[in-house]
Amino acid sequence: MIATSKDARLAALKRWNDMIHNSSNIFSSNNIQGSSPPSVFVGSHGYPNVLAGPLVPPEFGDTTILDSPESWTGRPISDIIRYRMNLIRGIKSIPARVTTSRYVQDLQDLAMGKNPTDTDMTFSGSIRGAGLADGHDAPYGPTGSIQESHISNITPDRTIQRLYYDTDLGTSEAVVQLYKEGASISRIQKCFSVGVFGIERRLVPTKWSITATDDIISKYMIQNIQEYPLVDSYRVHTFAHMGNSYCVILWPRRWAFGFSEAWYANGRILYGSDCEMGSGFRGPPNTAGAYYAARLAVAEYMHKNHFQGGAIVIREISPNYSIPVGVWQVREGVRASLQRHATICHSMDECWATSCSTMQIPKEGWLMQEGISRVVRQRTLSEYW
Amino acid sequence: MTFEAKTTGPNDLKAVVGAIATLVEEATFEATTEGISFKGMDPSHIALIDVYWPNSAFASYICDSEVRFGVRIDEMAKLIRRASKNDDITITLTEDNSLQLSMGSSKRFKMRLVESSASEAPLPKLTFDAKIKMPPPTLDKVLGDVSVVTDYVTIQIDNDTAVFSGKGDSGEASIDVPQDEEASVTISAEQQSEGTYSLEYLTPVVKAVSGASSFITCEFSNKKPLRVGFDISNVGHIHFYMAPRTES
Repeated sequence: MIATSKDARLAALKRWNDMIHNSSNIFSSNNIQGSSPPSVFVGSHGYPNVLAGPLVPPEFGDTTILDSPESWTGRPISDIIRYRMNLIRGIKSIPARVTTSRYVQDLQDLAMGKNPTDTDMTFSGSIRGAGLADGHDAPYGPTGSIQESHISNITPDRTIQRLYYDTDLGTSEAVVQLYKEGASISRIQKCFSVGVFGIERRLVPTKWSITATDDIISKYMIQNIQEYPLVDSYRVHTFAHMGNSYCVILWPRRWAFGFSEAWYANGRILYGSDCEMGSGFRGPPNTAGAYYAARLAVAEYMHKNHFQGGAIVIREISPNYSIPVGVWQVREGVRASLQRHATICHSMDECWATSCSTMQIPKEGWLMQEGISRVVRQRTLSEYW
Repeated sequence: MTFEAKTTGPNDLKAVVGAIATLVEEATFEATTEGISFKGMDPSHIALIDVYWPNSAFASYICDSEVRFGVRIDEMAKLIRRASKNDDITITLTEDNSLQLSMGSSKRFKMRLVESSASEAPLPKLTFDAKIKMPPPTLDKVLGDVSVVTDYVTIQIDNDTAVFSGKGDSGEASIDVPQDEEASVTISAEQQSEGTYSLEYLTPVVKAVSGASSFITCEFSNKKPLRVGFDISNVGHIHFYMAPRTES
């Protein structure tokens, strides 16, 4: 029985895995050659050993789009499924702490690579729909155990390479620096997961590295925005893609952030929510990686525009969102909301009316969520000066 | 510039530093010829602590000019916990930009001062319609009862009865605290008042100061901030202000 938004997420995930399982016989060879977008994946199963390897499609050329979440915003979900179905995941079980082997260095080179990279993988058996996607990263196609792999033609990104050779720089500092120099979140996350940064290098499972990257970068920005003046108005930003509707409400108060998501399952609405104020979030969040992804988008917007405020992000997930395509979808959905023109309101009530006019769930449904009500109802002392 | 202050026993200093540590990481104290004061807010501006400690409260007090010094409050709390039960504590600003804490006759700690970036913390402008004064264990127990079901306590005062209540997913709690001279509980209300406040902030500060305090006073007006005052024999005042949670 489905009881929470988490269960709904898992049920949707199973649908993807079943689909892969049913279609994996189309890849009948035990050898794959193609241009990795470039892309790597590190599975958490068996940690502190990890299942690490490249994602490679059976085609050569400019495959960049297959692993570029930042450019997928607004596309139909069928496009994303098509891109990802073709990515075959090679795996090899290796200790997360050992990053000096030739194999790991190849993966690091791949993650740092500027362009799609020709990759050849031979598997020890046939490839299969292993069902290991977890909803954090974009899903991927069938999986095979690597017997031998060759990666060629790598042109590393200079900025990333500089951070790679800086073994005195901590992981968080490197992540923030790379972000400040304009690298995309998905690129930073890939490098993070194969141990490109830091003093003590290690492989980090992809799902943890996604959360960690969002968390590190948004924390850096939140620290700064708490010094900025308050936003001057009540604003609502909205956007919808892939069966997900987003509303972002910003209003004048000290930094506070609340996130709530709602799924429809078996005719019921299931919610999850989380929030934080000035002293930060004490995890883990009920809404998992979606929380950090949404927070990153909001913090980024405030940081760029030099203000702080209260922020609520609500996400309504329709049954059309059949496959969880990864938390990038939340990050980019909230970013896209904020890039769109804001509706300026005169009060919080008007913000709610504007937001809920784009959704099925009424204001009362959202306000019953602890992560939302805590932020909306908690007054600050500055209101009484 | 000279600053040296000696306490009688460690408890008052423990309470003051412990209370401040529930809200901020770094604290900037201000010392004048008249005494030491501190004002600071948590990063969310939900709670504020206002401490004033007059020179008369110290066993000895020397301060020849106005001086501000910032400390990492957690570290200071840790050092003070090392004091034995009857140790007097002498706080001295040293020439090498450190704070020296001497405990009893044998123990001396030095901690580095920090540059504090905290901005001014103005006091909220408030009048209070309702008030309850009680011994610290009474409040501590009541807050503990409410915290079983929720993170927020609603205080309701009408005439001579106070009700502390809370409502959570798992159920509800309601505790009556009537006016009672024998139990040293006094209540007054100019009009019926009700306010809801976060236990996440309130409980730790009450726990930190209870041991050193003889009475706690909670004052508020309907849906307005709460002021909790701690009576400590030697300290001028410790006031803890907290913004309410309201319905919208």
